[in-house]
Amino acid sequence: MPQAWQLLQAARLTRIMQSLQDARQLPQQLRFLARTPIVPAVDAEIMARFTGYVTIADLVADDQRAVTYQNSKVSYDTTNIPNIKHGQALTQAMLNQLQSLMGGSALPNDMGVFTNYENRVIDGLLAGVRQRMEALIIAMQLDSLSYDRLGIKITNASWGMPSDLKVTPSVSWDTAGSATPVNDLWSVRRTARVRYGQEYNRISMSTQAFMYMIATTEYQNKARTFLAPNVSFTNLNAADLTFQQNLAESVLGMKIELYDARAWSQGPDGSLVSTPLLPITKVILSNSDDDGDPTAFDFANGITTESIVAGLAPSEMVGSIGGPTAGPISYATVPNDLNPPQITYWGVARGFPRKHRVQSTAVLTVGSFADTIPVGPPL
Amino acid sequence: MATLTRDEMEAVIKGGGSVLYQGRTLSSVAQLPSVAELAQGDPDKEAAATADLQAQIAQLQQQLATLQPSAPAAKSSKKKPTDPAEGDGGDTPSS
Repeated sequence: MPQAWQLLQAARLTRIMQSLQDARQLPQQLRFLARTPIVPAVDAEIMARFTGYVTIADLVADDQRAVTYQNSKVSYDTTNIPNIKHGQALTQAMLNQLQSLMGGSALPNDMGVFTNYENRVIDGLLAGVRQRMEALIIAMQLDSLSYDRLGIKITNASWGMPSDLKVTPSVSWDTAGSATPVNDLWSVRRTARVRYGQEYNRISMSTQAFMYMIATTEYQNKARTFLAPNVSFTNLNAADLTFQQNLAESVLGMKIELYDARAWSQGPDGSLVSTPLLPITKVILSNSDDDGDPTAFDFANGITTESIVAGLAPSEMVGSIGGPTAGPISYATVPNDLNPPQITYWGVARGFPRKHRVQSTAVLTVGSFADTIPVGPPL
Repeated sequence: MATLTRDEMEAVIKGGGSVLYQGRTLSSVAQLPSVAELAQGDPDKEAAATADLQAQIAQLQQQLATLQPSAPAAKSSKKKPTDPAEGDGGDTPSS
């Protein structure tokens, strides 16, 4: 194999993708993914919904045998595990660069031009895979997944969250005079604590939902006690989010995080569509102690099918991944007949989020309002 | 969606969620407040609810009216087998 083609070896590209994942912190905006442990799993295990209850331990005297309990059950779903996959074609300029490498006329190490380009491509593919994982994890925390794209259709998938933790207040938060956001949040928190023994200490919401919350009369009346006697709400700047966030944390007794991450996707007509990963009318209650705890929820990471079949028969993949490998992986394909002469980089993962403790999050649907700041393609 | 209507509340519950109404978490349709209760305090909604309830009453009365002719017939069919001679005091039917 010519030296330049070795650059496209699947094993090498996968190593690059996985080292990018290891060496770099997750982007700050993908907070839900950063909190979710990614655990290796096999296919049947991924789609099975494991429901277990932790039982309080017995007291056992010295030299006596303890008993074991079986308090868990596994129910199987019929849905297939989705692959999280996308690709990017090599530009013609980079194809020419590769050609110069093959001809041996390039400078030593190619001055990093090709390698840097390749790193950016793989990094972009990895970021896209992670964004989809983030969206799936948020859907799990909201207990609602709907997806309809490229032949895969999922409608209102549920992870089994109790109905009294999926709450819609009767008055939406954009009704400043009569909405009761503080009581709404406290009510759900109390239900989870009393009924399920679950404590929440964090609220995740969009900035728009937060702005509506702090504009309500109920909130301002309750926040009044945390302000100096000579300061009223008219003296405060609602746009000062840091101050307002601190004040709201005092009022609610929970940490507030404003989450506005968005992802771009391409519509069937080629148009770019920007979607918030956390819908702006949804508010999630969670517990920071559950971060990284696989007994609460995790992301089951399966073996990528590409890594299994690549070694079975000749394919367009350059090189081999070296056997079954969990995602995310990366590889390049080149058409065998070079028609068209095209190289495509791919990023793949295969997995699905699982919620083991169904009450680990609660969600409020606080209205049906739209963002007051219009969002569209920036360029 | 300033304030949820009863239909919207039903849709939320049928979709697997709950409704927070005046501090109570309502998880079944049977727990939901009535249309009249929801309309209280809002003149427009009260008028709409009144009209809606009156329409329902009119519809029920119309259904009830369809049952009225058969009621005397049923009574008379019950009385037919009785023999006036064995009688219940010699009352004669008025019609």
